[in-house]
Amino acid sequence: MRIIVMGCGRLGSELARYLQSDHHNVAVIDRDEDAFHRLGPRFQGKTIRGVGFDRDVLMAAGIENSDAFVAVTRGDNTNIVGALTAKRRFKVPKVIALIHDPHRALIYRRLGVPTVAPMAWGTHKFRELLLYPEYHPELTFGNGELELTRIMVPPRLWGRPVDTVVIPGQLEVVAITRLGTGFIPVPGTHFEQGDVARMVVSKEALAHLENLIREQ
Amino acid sequence: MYVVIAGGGNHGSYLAAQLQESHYEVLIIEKNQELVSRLKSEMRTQIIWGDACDPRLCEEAEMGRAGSVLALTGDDEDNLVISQLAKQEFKVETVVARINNPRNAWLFDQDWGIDIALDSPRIAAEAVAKFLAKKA
Repeated sequence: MRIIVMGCGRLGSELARYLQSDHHNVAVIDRDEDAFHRLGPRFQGKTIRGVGFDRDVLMAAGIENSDAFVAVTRGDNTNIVGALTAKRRFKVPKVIALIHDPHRALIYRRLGVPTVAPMAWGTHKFRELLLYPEYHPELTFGNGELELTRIMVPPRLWGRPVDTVVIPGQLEVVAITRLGTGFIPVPGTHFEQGDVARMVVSKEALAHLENLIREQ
Repeated sequence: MYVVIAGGGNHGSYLAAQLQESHYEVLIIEKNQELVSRLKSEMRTQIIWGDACDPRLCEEAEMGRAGSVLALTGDDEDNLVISQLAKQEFKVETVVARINNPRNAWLFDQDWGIDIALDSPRIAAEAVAKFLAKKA
């Protein structure tokens, strides 16, 4: 893929190096020439000094032939303007923006620009680690709204139907590992001693899950 | 009509005073605290301190009932974002935005929710060029 990365800060430079090691064709834009040092001596992509939504800069970066544009500067507004320009004016197929303010992130998602809101994600992770040590999150979806988590099924649930813990829209049991074999529970499946259950849980239901595990 | 002006600098404050004189209801949003204090002491206009690019502040400013929003900050990105917010989220009928750097003029269009783009540097340049041409 031909990818343009706007912003060569810690995130942008890391992303650019990673993408290059995946053999993509990467061009990096930054206002500050010094920022390109973060790319390291082995970086082979193009670097363009300038403002990310300046027409000449974008042309120099090859926006007309790009497959993707990623806006990862420190400024939300710069990222929004860069991303929407790439999408609307240059019809770049894949455009993603880093937006720190979760309220703004929502608005720009509505315009069809997927956003990554690191603060929201980070806040969820910290809260989780502080408040819910009993279970093991494995994957998050979206910006932390959903999680795939793993628990040892507690004694109070042994023999109980899996359905009793399910909360539609908030908590689903997606897989059970029993004696080394994994299976998807069906209506009628009951928990057994030794089961490891994997659940997809919304952040609203985390407290409920915690209670489930802790209660005697 | 209720007019919200983003940016209390020279453009914003002057226009606010003019509009207020013509009996518009005006509110200025300015993010520099010192400037806000100064404006409060110098003008009768209502001023709130904050970032006009923040949707929550726009709610507070009751942007939804504004007939017009003027994005007059010294930052082109901010003006574009404010315009987009005003048009898309708050459905403001007339959105006016100031262009600081003529190199960015190509961006200031309907896609961003902008009804009128004010390219002050270009307008000034054209006026000066005309004036000098007459003298040449």
